Amino acid sequence: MRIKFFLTLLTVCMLAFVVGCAKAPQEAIDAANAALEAAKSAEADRYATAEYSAAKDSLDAANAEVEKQNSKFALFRNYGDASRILQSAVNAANAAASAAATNKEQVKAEAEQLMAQAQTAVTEAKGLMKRAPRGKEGRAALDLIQSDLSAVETQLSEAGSAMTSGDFLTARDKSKAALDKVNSIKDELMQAIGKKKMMTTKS
Amino acid sequence: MITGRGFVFRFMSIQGRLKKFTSSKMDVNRLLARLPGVVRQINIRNRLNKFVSSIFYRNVQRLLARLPGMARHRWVWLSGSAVGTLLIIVAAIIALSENPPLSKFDHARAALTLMRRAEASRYAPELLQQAEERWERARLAWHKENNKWSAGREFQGAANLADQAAGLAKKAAELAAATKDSLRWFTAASITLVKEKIAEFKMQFNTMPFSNPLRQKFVTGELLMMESELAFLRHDYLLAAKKIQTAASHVGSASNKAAGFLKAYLANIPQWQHWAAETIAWSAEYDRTAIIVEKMASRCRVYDNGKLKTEYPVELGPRWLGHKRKKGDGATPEGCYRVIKKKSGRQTQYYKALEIDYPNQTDRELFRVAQERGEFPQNAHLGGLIEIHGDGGKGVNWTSGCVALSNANMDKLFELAKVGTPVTIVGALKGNPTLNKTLREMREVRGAEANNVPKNLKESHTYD
Repeated sequence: MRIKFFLTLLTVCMLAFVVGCAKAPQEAIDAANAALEAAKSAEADRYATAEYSAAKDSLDAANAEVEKQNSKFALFRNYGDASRILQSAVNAANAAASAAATNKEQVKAEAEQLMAQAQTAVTEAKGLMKRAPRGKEGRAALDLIQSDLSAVETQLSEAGSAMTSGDFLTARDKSKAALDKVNSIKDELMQAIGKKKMMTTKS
Repeated sequence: MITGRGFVFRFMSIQGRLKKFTSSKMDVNRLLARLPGVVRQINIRNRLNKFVSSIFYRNVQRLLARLPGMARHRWVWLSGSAVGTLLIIVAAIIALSENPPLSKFDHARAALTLMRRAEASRYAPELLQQAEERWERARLAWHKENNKWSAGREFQGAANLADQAAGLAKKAAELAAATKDSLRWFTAASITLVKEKIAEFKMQFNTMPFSNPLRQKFVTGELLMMESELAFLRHDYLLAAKKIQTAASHVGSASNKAAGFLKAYLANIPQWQHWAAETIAWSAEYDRTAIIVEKMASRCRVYDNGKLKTEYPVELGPRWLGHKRKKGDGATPEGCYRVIKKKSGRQTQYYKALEIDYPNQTDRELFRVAQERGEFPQNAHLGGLIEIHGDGGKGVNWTSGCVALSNANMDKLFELAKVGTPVTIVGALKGNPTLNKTLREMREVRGAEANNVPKNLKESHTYD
């Protein structure tokens, strides 16, 4: 009977110990790490820098809280705060990924629009070149402008490559610069055509 | 859920009650009936507790019933002592365990946050990587110690790593802020400088027919400057700085080549001045009309009796810069010629024309030498039919090497010129002060750029 009594006492103690020990929220930790990786894959570090940094900070805080609890005596551990911070980290990472996707899509749309505008402007500039003053023997007197337009077309081609490779920021910058340049070429051509018209009217 | 501590306290309470029971020899059922409401509530509230308690009561009742009075007392005392000892051991373990240096870890995390906010990932990436790597090592060391038996934990290693992470993060934040500031200043200044260079190039060389590669280099530089400006506006100073450096290199290279070419071209000025002086002297000596065309000034000057009588604006070929070397090069020849034919009506398609004796002996000799050197293909020709003609005034250089005047001016010149009138065509008669200024400034800017480029753009970082 003595043995039975001690066994019962031991069982009670062990049960109390087991029930009293909280477990680290490993699933939540894994989920937070996965969410941050997903945010990075979505280029949040480039298109939503602040949100991505916030998510990393949050994950660091959660990991520190988990270790803080791990440092305590088993019966006194409480992972409630860690779980809450981990959930915040997941939310922050998801927000970063979402913001990155939105920003990326916006930049992409802008780049596409600018590319289309620049290409239209190049076509218009080529049309204006036909109306611009020309020399004898069919030689265009606007070789320089043609050379400038070639450079702009090269720039647009580079923008297209950047777009294909998913580098929308570069594509947007290149398209915007190309558009500005081709617009200045168009202005130049319009001025030359204007002069020609004025001369024709005078004569 | 029953907590460990709660159960122990309840267990002790029951033990006390049982001791009282054993001393007063009361019936167990009576004792239970006398238990306070709290204990009953605990039993009712927690089924598990009730289950465990019932087993315990039954066992204790059976055990105690078989024991004599003194033995029963001893067993209860022993059980209480065992539980008390256990509690003392637990308390001792907690008291003797080393606490983790939480403040150091918190400090490191705060430093990492500041580092990220300072955009160290862009402006101090190597230090950021080192700081994050050190923090990860600190966390793993902490985790490793946590997995050990409480009394055997040693957090000093983890604390040191956390300190290092904090130090590196602080350095990274400082470097990022300094680099960002420096790049912002550098880029803003460079953009202004490159813009000025572009404006200068346009002012100096925009009408000059340089080669397509040179022109495209310049335009590429201009486009890069625009890209740099866009990056600057969205505060991406690193990209802006890289772009403006490339832009400066392109524009600078194009400007240098253009200026170099022009400088070499203008080295002929003394010779051209000599030709012009001879032409004017001839005009004075024979009291006759002479024509001097200055290509760079786009002017046709008419001299009579050695004195300037009048001058007209002219248009040339699109590649007028340089001497005409062969047919189709679009250049206007330089040299001393004479009018060989006056054309009007159906004789010319350009209103009126004064045909000159290009190519002369010098032109033929130059062409022969160039062809012997293999500079031209075998089927190349020297060309001819160079004229001063009408239909000009278009505002652009459009001829194939001829000199075009407006019809009104052509009428006047046609009246003044005769067959045999000297026509001297020169590149320029004056030096180019603005070109000299450009060349001087280019040298200064190159020197300044070499000194002002931020360190992180010149060389990669090395950190201890």
